[in-house]
Amino acid sequence: MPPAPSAAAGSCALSLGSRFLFGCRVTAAHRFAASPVQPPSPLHQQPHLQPCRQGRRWLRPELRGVYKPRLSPEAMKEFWRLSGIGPDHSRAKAADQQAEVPPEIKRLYQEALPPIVSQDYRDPIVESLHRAEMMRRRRVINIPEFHVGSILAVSVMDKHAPNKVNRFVGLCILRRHTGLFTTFTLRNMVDQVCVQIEYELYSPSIVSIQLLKLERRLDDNLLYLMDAPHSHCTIPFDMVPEPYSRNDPVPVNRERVRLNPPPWMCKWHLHGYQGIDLEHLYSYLSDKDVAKAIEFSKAYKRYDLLDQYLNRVPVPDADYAFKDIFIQHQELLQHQQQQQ
Amino acid sequence: LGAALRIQAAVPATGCCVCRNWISTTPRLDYIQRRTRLRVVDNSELGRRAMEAGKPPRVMHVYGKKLKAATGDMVMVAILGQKRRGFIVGARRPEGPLRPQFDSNNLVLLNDEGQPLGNRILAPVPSFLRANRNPKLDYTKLLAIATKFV
Repeated sequence: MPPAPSAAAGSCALSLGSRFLFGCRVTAAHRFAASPVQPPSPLHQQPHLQPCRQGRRWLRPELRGVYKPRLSPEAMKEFWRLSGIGPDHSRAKAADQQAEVPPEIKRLYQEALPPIVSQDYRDPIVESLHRAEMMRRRRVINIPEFHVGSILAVSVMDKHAPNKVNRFVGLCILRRHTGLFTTFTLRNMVDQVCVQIEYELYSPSIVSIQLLKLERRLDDNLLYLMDAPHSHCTIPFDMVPEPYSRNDPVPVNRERVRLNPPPWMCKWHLHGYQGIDLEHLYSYLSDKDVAKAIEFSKAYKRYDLLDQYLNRVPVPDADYAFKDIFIQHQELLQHQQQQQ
Repeated sequence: LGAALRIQAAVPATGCCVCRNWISTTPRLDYIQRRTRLRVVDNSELGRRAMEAGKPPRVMHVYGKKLKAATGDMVMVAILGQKRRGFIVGARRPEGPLRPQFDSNNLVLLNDEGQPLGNRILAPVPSFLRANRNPKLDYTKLLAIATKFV
């Protein structure tokens, strides 16, 4: 049953008459009158009518002036507390005072870095909310540390599968995007056919992410495996997880892959891959292409200051993001201990 | 040239086809449309003969009032001088999260009634096809002969 309209909203006699003259826009200020959220100052308690070109739909008097929050006030407070950007800004202040974060945080939360876009498209509040949502999701599911070159087993909810769960094992060849929309791609050979599936790391459809082997490669993506022999990405579905220690550095697999003869899906020689056997690769190319590849690999890019500026996250932003995540990481550990 | 080959690339590897280096690289041409050659992945006699002869089927027509076909679409193909219908069970073009992407464009041959010619599909089939959503074709029988869902 809607709450009774307040006296301020009920005395909108002016609005009833004037809606026939021109459309009236009732500003949001008077809608606080009947809501649990108190208006900021007494001046806003009177209804304030502004003429506007588009007439509003006429609401019944008992519905006018009623602000119905979608969440209860308690849930709203809990949301602001977890997001850390509520009126008291407690976590933001704590992050400013935080000392240097341990290096394991940067390994575990690589996607916490803000995106590399121009400042016009970056919003620190949105990024802070994303980080809060990421940590909330991590309370529900364990997301392990992994890099491109690691082997993962992912189970997703699939209503068409017999067990309602669809499990896929594969080598991680790509990690893209930042924040809540981080994705990673797994590649594997199934029945002599190579399959690649992209997963969103924080998707609620994912039931579990299991790390089978922690490893890194020389490149930040392994897209060239599409043109390599299939033995490089064949992983058995019943692979046993290999134990690893958080304190050890991530092992680097320095193998150099020999690609199949061209045609290739991409000009692999022009992207500076370290994980490809370059001598073998150049043997397929003409002298002109080899010269182009070598020209690309010259070190002139390190002097391109604008390139560095555009393609890196500003250090203060990265530091703040990791400090913010570190505080929430400690809360997550406490939460996990309480669960046990 | 030997010494030049040993130069290590000093720039960080970006590696993606769509990258910030502004190198002119054409994107992958991975749409399935007319004249596209597909790979037959069932055990039908016609498909086996065509793939062994090195004459894979070519798309002649895409059903559904569109020019590009994707996983789950029915196409008409020309195979060994015949016209046959086929159903695409895997595409090279990425379709977004949770949808598998294959290294080849996979086709299952159908007869005029829409029933598969072979009795087994040798490649993994995407699980989202189990929703059976093609308005032109009821491919329940096709899902029944699939061996593995991905």
